[in-house]
Amino acid sequence: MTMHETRKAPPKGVPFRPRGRSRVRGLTVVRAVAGMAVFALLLFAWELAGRHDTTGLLPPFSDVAAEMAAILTGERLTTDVLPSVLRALLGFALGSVIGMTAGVVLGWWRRLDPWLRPPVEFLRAVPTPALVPIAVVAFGAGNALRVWVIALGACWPVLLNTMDGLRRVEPGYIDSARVYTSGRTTAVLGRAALPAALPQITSGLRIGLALSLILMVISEMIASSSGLGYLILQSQRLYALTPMYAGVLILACTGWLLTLLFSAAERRALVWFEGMKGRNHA
Amino acid sequence: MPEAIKGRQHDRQATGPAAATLLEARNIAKCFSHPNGTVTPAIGDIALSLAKGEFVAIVGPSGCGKTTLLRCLCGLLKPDSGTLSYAGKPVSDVPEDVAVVFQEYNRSLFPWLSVRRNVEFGLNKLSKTERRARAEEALTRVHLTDVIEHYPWQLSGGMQQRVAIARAVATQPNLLLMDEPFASVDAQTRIRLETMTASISTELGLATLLITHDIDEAVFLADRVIVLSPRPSSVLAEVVVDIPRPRTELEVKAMPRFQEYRRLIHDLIVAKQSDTPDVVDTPAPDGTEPERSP
Ligand SMILES: Nc1ncnc2c1ncn2[C@@H]1O[C@H](COP(=O)(O)OP(=O)(O)OP(=O)(O)O)[C@@H](O)[C@H]1O
Ligand SMILES: [Mg+2]
Repeated sequence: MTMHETRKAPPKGVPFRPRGRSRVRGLTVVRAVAGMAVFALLLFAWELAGRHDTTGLLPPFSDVAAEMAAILTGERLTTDVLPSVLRALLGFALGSVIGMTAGVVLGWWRRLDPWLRPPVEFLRAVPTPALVPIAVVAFGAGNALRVWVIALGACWPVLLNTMDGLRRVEPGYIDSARVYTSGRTTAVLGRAALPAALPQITSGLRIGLALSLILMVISEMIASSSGLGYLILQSQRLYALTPMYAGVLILACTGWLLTLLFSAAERRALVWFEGMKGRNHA
Repeated sequence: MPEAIKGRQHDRQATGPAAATLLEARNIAKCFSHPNGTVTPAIGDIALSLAKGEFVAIVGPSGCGKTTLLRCLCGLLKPDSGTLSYAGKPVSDVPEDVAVVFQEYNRSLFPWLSVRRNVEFGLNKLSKTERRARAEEALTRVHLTDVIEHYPWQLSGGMQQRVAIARAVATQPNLLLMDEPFASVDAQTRIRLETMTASISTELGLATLLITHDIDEAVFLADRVIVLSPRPSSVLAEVVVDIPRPRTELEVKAMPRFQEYRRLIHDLIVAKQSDTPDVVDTPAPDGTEPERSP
């Protein structure tokens, strides 16, 4: 007996690939080139403005780029740039773990909600930079301080999105998971609820990553002796404007690179989500 | 027939009244309370039992609480009152060897897993090779081997429903619960799926409980049809379908006996609907908590 469906079935044995890749590829290239062109134009404008600048406030782009290269190849790479990136990543990782753990507890065991919601709402309202002086007292002005400040700031979006994501999981998935795991809570949570909530958890992580970079800079501008934030602030105090701009540029590149990496990982993990959306909107 | 299931070949003769009871429900009742204070009585009072290897269909009008009953029977939902036992033990959570095909297949298959991994979902205790073999065997049964690496949302409704059936069958359950599994497919696919379900449950010796609002489907498939009243539901009648197996669609549906069963059940439902006033939801007495799903 053959079973032919009346609706269109995907061709035999062809697994899923994100739709429309090749059709859209040409367009993507055009867009990328257009974006680069505008970017180059802006840099060129900067270069021109810098060269004709008489106030000494704006060094030309070429100087800043050369300074940036010098920093990235010199010893400041290991004393400032890498430590900064490491702190941001560590803080982000720590904050993500804290956020996800708390988010799971709050989102999954709803009976805890009345007890835990008020303190959570209150703590969330505290702007993280305001915690820096307290953290200095608690951890001293070292790496631990900075990592913890980043973690405490980055954990909120992760926490809230994990909690919300878990609460919105389609009840049908939970029912299925309960049937096919005989109701084991950890299995239902780990194999159904968390994967189902992953798209939302990921948006939390993305915001957390951006916050981590912001908090990294802020934390390095206080009681610090190394890092990109320190480099920028110190250059400004010494009126060394070229290194200052170079620091900002390195920061921008770092943020851009990390976001790019994150997006790539996200795309891989959420192929199903994008595909499903595409199908529903088709 | 694949090697794995040969040993479990089942003899339909055993399903007499003397056969061992697998699932027994007594005086099950369930109300839903809504946040605005009204109470919906979904199940009034239902008693039913299911013997090993028996195929029972439950028919009832839409909204009479069939899905609610199914969720109670498999331990997903706790009834307000009544007792429920499976294989001699009271049901608290979903028993190991019970599989369910849900009414809303597109919300019960996991969209982040491929068809293969969806079918393997309930087989976590087996080794990887065993899992694969079982999944492939189950998917062969429902004729879906060519879409094994696809995602469920890439498939048509009928194909998704077959994946859901394969996922259930792959766990080699003793009890299979199905909630209107063929409601969303066209007539031809539906007949094929019905025939397939009948042969699977005969071959594997599954006790099967099929919820449907299609009287023809119930009579065609079941050894016994339980007719439910409108909400709050109770058992109106049980009709034993005495048609020999294997049954084929065209043959069975041409039998005068088939038509008699049909009319009997139809009249039971219609008579009940016309002579009872519609049930009105009652306002909740103060202090009742609204029902929340799990
Ligand atoms: N989680 C819930 N919360 C509140 N009310 C519910 C809930 N689930 C079901 N009900 C109510 O219980 C009644 C029975 O619903 P149920 O889904 O069991 O009917 P059904 O017989 O399966 O209907 P259908 O044939 O359309 O699938 C309905 O009135 C419905 O509104
Ligand atoms: Mg239903």
